[in-house]
Amino acid sequence: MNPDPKENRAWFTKKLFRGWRLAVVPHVPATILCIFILVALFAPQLSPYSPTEAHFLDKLMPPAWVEGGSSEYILGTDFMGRDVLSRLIHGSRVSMTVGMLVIVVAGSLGTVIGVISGYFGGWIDILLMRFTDITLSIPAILMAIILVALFGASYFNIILVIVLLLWPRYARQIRGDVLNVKEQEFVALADVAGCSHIRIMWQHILPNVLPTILVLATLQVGWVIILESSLSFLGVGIPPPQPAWGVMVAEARGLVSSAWWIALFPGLAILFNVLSLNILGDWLRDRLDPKLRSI
Amino acid sequence: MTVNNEMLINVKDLRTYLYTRRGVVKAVDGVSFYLRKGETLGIVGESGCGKSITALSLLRLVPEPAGRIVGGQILFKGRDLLQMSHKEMRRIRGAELSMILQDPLTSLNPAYSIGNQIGEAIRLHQKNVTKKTLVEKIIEALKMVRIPAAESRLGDYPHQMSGGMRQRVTGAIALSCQPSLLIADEPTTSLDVTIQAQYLRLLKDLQRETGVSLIFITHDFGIVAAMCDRVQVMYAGKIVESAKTRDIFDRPRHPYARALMGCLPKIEKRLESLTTIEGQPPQLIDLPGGCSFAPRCPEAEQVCFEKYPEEAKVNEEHRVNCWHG
Repeated sequence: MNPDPKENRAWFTKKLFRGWRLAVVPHVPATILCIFILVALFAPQLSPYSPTEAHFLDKLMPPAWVEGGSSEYILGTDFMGRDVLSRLIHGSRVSMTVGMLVIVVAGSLGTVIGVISGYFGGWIDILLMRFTDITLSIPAILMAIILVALFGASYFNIILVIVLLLWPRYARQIRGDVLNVKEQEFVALADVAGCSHIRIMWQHILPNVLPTILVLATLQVGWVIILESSLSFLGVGIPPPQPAWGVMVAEARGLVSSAWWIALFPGLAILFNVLSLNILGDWLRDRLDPKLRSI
Repeated sequence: MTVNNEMLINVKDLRTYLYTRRGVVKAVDGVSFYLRKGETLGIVGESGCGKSITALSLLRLVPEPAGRIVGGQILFKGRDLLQMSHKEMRRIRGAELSMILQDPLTSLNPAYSIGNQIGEAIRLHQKNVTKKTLVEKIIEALKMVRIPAAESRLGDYPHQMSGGMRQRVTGAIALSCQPSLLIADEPTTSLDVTIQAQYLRLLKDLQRETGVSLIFITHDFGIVAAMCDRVQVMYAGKIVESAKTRDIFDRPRHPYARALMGCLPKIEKRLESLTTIEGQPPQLIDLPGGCSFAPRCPEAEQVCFEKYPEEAKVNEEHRVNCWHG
């Protein structure tokens, strides 16, 4: 080994830093996300009360460690006396399924349209991109209100509405990336080798735009949760007794100064969820980049 | 090298037009040539003279929708490629016709290991390859292009290799299915000179080993002299002179070919500056009726501006399109 201890240390720090960058960081967000997922899966077992059950005598109780709080309601109760912890636990189910489902569906749809549009070009591109533009140009909230008014507010419809709002963002971004990738010579050579269009798109172009898709997906989760809460705020979101994080924050808006705990905990849940996903997405992108893989 | 007289490809009056917003570009305008088995043909000309489009037309990969092959015949082993269905064509590409492009940096997909990419080419055209024989074939292909320690490089990604190596890997992919025609579109332009010489020698060796015919697209007469059996000079979408390499170096007949030769620095003459051809190559939209080189030609006469010259025979292999030829 290197006899100079100083240089040795530098080498070690460098190694540590690299390891830290690509391996250790995701442990924290990955754990947080795992906890969220477990909580969502075992919500009925974990929550002390029913999320919709109102205890009118115990309404607006502060968290247990604050003066006036009781150990019966660890995170306090809201204005109807519903247990904040129970609602938070059940809310993770709603928020996380909405978030993930929307990202997966809208991401796939947007990617398919973006790849086709960018790869074929010509009138297909013009047609698909104008359609995308039209969808993008409609104000998101307005469109959501109209669609919900037409089809009614339900779990499924909310997901559908947000998917409709989200896919054009993917389509645009992916199309741009595809335009860049398809000009590279390996695509022409794949053509020369006798690959079909589908094979070229799937095997040769998609892996090269995957990093973009991933980063976009992780960044959008936050947007989805926020949009879902805005919809709830306007009364066209997840129907009321159902707890969702966004709904909880929205409901607590008038009480922030007096009963801060109702808004704080779901807010923190959103924060940690989104942040963990962003960091994980970043890490995943680095991992998928062959240039960084060998580090 | 064994050049037998068996005809591999015979192109007759090929016309490929590009329909752009400013008008129709006659990128390939009535080109005819042939290639025998095991032979090397050089196509020489300035940028934008239609060399690459000619090559792409042979593979029927002219960029659509702007480009279209509007006429002619491409007889490959006796069958007209232009009459084939897309499916048949796809089977022929890669298996029978193959290509190497200019830029080794973007010729490989950065997302896959090189073993994976060579394997893909083999799997596309040879069904029922077991995993073990596939790996053997990939290693064989890498050894063929002289990649050292081929076994240990299968998992390497393109960015871990140098430009020369990447170009050799592209060569391995192109030759992995033993094609009968390899089109090399300026394959050495972006390599440095020593690597260039190495690569050309490798191509020559591979040709001897596999008997593949080569079409070499270049603007470098040095490469032509080293590589090609026959040369054809292209100007503004037309072949203006075609001959055996020796003939064109000894007795170039077309003023354009002569001018191109004149641009080469000669070792016996001390030059203050390099000779150039005056003027610009013509816009391929709205070409004048006569010889397209006439405006730049030092020997142009009235007739040159009025009528395109017929092909004149100098000898069996040497043809020229010039009123003075």
